[in-house]
Amino acid sequence: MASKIPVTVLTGFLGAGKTTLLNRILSEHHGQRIAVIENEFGEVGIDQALVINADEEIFEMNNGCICCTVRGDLIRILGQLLKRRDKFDRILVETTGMADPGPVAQTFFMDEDMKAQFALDGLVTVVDAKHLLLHLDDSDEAQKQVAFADVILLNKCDLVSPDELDAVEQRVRRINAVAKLIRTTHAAAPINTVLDVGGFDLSRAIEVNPDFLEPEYPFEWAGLYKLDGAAELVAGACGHDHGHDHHHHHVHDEHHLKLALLPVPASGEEALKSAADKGIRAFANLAEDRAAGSTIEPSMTPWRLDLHGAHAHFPVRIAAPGHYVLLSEHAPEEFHLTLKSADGKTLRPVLAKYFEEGHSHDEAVTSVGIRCEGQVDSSLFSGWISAVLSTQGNDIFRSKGILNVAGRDKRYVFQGVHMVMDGRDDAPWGDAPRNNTLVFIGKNLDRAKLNEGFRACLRQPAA
Amino acid sequence: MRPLAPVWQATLDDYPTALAVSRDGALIAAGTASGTLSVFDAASGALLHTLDAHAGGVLALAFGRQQLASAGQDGHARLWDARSGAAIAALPGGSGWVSHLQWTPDGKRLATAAGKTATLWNEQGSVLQKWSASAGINGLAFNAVGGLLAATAGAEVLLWRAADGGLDRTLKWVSTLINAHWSPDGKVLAAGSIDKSVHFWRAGAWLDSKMGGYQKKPQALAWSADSKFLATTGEDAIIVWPFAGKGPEGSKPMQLLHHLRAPEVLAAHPKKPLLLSGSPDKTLVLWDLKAGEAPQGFATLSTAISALAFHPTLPLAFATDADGQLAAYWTDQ
Repeated sequence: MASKIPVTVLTGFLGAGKTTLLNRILSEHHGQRIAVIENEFGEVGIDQALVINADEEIFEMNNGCICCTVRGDLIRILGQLLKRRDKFDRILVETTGMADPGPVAQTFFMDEDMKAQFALDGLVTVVDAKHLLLHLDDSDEAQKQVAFADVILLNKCDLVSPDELDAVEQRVRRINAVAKLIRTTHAAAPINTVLDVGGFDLSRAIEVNPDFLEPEYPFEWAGLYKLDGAAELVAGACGHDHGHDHHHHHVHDEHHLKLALLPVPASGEEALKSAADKGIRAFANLAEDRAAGSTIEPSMTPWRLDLHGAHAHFPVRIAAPGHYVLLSEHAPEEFHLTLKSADGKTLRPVLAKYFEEGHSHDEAVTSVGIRCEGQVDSSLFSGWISAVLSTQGNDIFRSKGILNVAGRDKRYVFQGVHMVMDGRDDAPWGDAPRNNTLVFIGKNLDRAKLNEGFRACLRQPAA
Repeated sequence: MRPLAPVWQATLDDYPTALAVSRDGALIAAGTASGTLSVFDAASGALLHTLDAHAGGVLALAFGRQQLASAGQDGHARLWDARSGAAIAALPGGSGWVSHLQWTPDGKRLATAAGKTATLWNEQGSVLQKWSASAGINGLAFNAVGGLLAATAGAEVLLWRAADGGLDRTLKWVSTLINAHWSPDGKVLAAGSIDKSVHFWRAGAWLDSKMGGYQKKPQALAWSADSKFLATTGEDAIIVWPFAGKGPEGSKPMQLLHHLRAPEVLAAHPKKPLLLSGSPDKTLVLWDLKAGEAPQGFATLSTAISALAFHPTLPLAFATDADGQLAAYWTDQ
């Protein structure tokens, strides 16, 4: 069977640089016949490409459920292109600035004819570094365009300061942790970074960069302290009469606080990060109860502090002066958590970091990554993933993953757009470490629930 | 079942996208993806003329009385003198491709659709009415007396009155509709949906009825000349719903199974209860709907069948394939 024609979708707000990128692709990609479908009036300055202008047209199924919508204009135009004797090597679709990428992507998975003839290669989103933050605050479409992307061109980098650029990049990363992010001016991205990206190619699902996948931390805060000797930890129960302006409210036990103290060899970001990773394992251990006045010390056993009473004091004993990381289940300000030196002075952490709270329901669009070892029970997994996608498919824009399925020597890979999911066996594991990687990008994602749900699909090791 | 005997064959320059036979049966016209329009003598296959009709490709063809109307990707419909090939008028569609064409049954007025706009023209190419829909128009059909033009747009069918341009009524379904077909007697309007169902409304009551269970979207629909059968694609078999007697509500459809791959094009005979079906498996099959589910004849071309047509008076069937072959066959032995 003839190979499918690759389709690249360019999204981005008006003025972000889509047309500039399009013209670059067309002028640099010699020797290929490219058809361009434009939904916005752009100035394509290349003669040899066939440019078709069409209004974006949503085909709806079942009362406007977004998961079932496809793009009628693409179906009609691509259907006609197939009939031409001069075949095309590649299709570029330039959407309007306000387009929802969902129906565009679904067109290539839900419509049988499109699915048979075309392969969606990737969604490339061009964003204007200067105005992106504004657009993300104002517009669902901007969030979706970033969320759906396989490649994000952070364009017009010359118009913003390095600090601003970092802020924009961080925001983009929070939404879409796995897209390839390229900083550009005048949309000058190397062509091979925007074409043939294999964003929907199952055999390339493996290329998900695991560095972007933050594990779920069971604590909200970590502080790195330099301790010269014995110290004292002071904390109080969190009451609602404090008049604090909590930016979020928890339902938690207000009289107990779980924490752990871990030694680190040096100061610095690296040390904090490694302690946090070690802390995940420490927090998995059964905590030891500590009443006020009893001693705590560095240990892989977390301490569960009893905070009945106004302020409880806990002596901290260390074996030697040095750097230590205190990991706290909740943000320290919620429990007036402080560390004091032997002479009563308040110690300030050299470095501190807040971690994404596991149970938060974030209205905004985010990525949830899951990485863990273990063997997946395939029937439990297929039951779980279809339940997740059928109940939350409206909010989950994209999903992908590589799984270590029990009893199989090959990687199982899957990817989905809203409720449509595709999966199959891929390359053998060989000597590679077998683990599971999943990514969900969407809104209202419950990180902890997704984690729990997936972990429940793992086979329990034989006793 | 027997092979259909070939009568004549011609080769077109590109993928045939539209095929139409004149009302008197004298001419057959074929349009292609490269934009050419060729007119042949239907009985002999003699080429009368080939026109460069639409840059980018022909999308639809329909014969009026003396005129042949074509529509294409150049944003225009065009009126031609069918016999001489002389251009009569270029009809601007409004925006984008002109995808649909439909003459009134008397052949005096022509409706076109481009994007969300439909236009009604007279035979000389003057505008009589202009309508706009809230979504792109996916199908056009006049009822028997030519008074009502049905246009599917989004999940709705808009019924416009040709006389005064008014909106007679709106028929609604919840999923996008992809075509529109009035029964020849004007009593039933049918439309396929992308949600893999076929809908119909009986004129007068206008209640929506749904026929589901398709594997794919029913892209092609064809009414038999006596309005007693509606043939539909979307399955390996052609599903034929009976509209005589109790109608589809009380009876099982016929399933015409012969193609190796699901047929994608259909044509109904304008006078007899005959049906042609064409499939990507390169075959076309002749069916007699009165005779039941047994195929009556077949023929094979070199690639997927792209368009089909019957001759109104002679026992002739026409078919094109994706490579540009146009073939005529005897339907009687």
